[in-house]
Amino acid sequence: MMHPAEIEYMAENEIIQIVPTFNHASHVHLICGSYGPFRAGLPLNVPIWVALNLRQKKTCRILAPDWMAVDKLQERLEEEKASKFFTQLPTNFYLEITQMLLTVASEDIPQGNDIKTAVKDLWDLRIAKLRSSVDLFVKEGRVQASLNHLTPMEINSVRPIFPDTLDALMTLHEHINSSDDREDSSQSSVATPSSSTSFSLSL
Amino acid sequence: MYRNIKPHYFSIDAIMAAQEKIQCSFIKKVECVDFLDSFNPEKDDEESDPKIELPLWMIQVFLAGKSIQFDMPKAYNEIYRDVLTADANVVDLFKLCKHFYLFGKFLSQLEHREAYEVRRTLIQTFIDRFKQTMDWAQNIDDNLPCFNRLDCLERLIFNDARVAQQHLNTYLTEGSGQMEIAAMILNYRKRKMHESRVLE
Repeated sequence: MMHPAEIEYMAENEIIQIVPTFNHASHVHLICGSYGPFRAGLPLNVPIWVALNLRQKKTCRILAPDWMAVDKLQERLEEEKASKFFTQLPTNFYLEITQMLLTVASEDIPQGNDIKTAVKDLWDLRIAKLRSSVDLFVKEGRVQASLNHLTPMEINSVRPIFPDTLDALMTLHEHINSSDDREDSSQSSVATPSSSTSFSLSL
Repeated sequence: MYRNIKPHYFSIDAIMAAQEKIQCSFIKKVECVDFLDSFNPEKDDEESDPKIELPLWMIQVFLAGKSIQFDMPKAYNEIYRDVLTADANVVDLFKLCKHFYLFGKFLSQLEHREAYEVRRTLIQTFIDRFKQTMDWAQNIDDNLPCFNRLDCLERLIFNDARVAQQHLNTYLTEGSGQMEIAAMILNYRKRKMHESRVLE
């Protein structure tokens, strides 16, 4: 299981636009890439952790990503409601990015509170979907499921419970497969989560 | 995380489950097992039914010699199987049997005419109760009353889910804070050298 803070750490590598208030002619070379040059008033792309750091020193202004607007998020929400499956989101870390930007740079982002509510709505909707599909998976004894477009934070919410549940279920099933002539007939009709159980997650 | 749900030789839960007592009676005379010698099925006393409660691990041994027969314990008899099939969510499993799944699994491995039905009930019960366990773990703040109704196996899963949910809730309300350096990394020579250089 991962701690939410670790996922946030991963999210900090996403690229975001800032408008610096200082000049720095040369590029800054980082492990994740080279960024610059910094010119006061001209927007440029940097990783979120750089943006947050500069923002805390009050040397830049953060530009909210395109998707971080109330109407865009409402659209997503409608789309998510209409679809039976998980829809693709503009970023894999929508919850974490919103959380980070709104804590550090709430003045830079218009309608911060509404955005927060909209993101929370989206999260709640997707989690509800995820939980009901997990329940269905266990109830029907399926052996394979594909959940596209699920974000790391969402996967993390079922990670502590799901593998162990399947493991327990498999242990209970185990001896049904042992020699007992009564079962051979009924076995074929019941899908037992055996060692072939796979739960593929493609992001 | 990823607990070993499977019972193994040193698993405390498995040992405790094997201690559960089962009512049984001898069908053959057994010898050289100390006080059990007195339970003689050939004494035709209709009045005193020679029933005795023995732990599961002992019954396994006698069953191998086909000298014993037993009834399914209360939690697994036909009445309770019907109750569990009707609605597993209302049953207080912990009160019924602490190690409901594990003990039930051991029982179903023994030779008994109801073994197959017991297995089916175990699996169905677990599946039916799963949603409830997950809901409780992820949503209710004061969950002691719910927790008390879970069997030991469900408690393991419940606790993991609970801890993860609390992490998430804290993250959402308070943010992540400073991440700590792992103790292993702090002991690297390279890092120690760097720190001493910084101090200078």
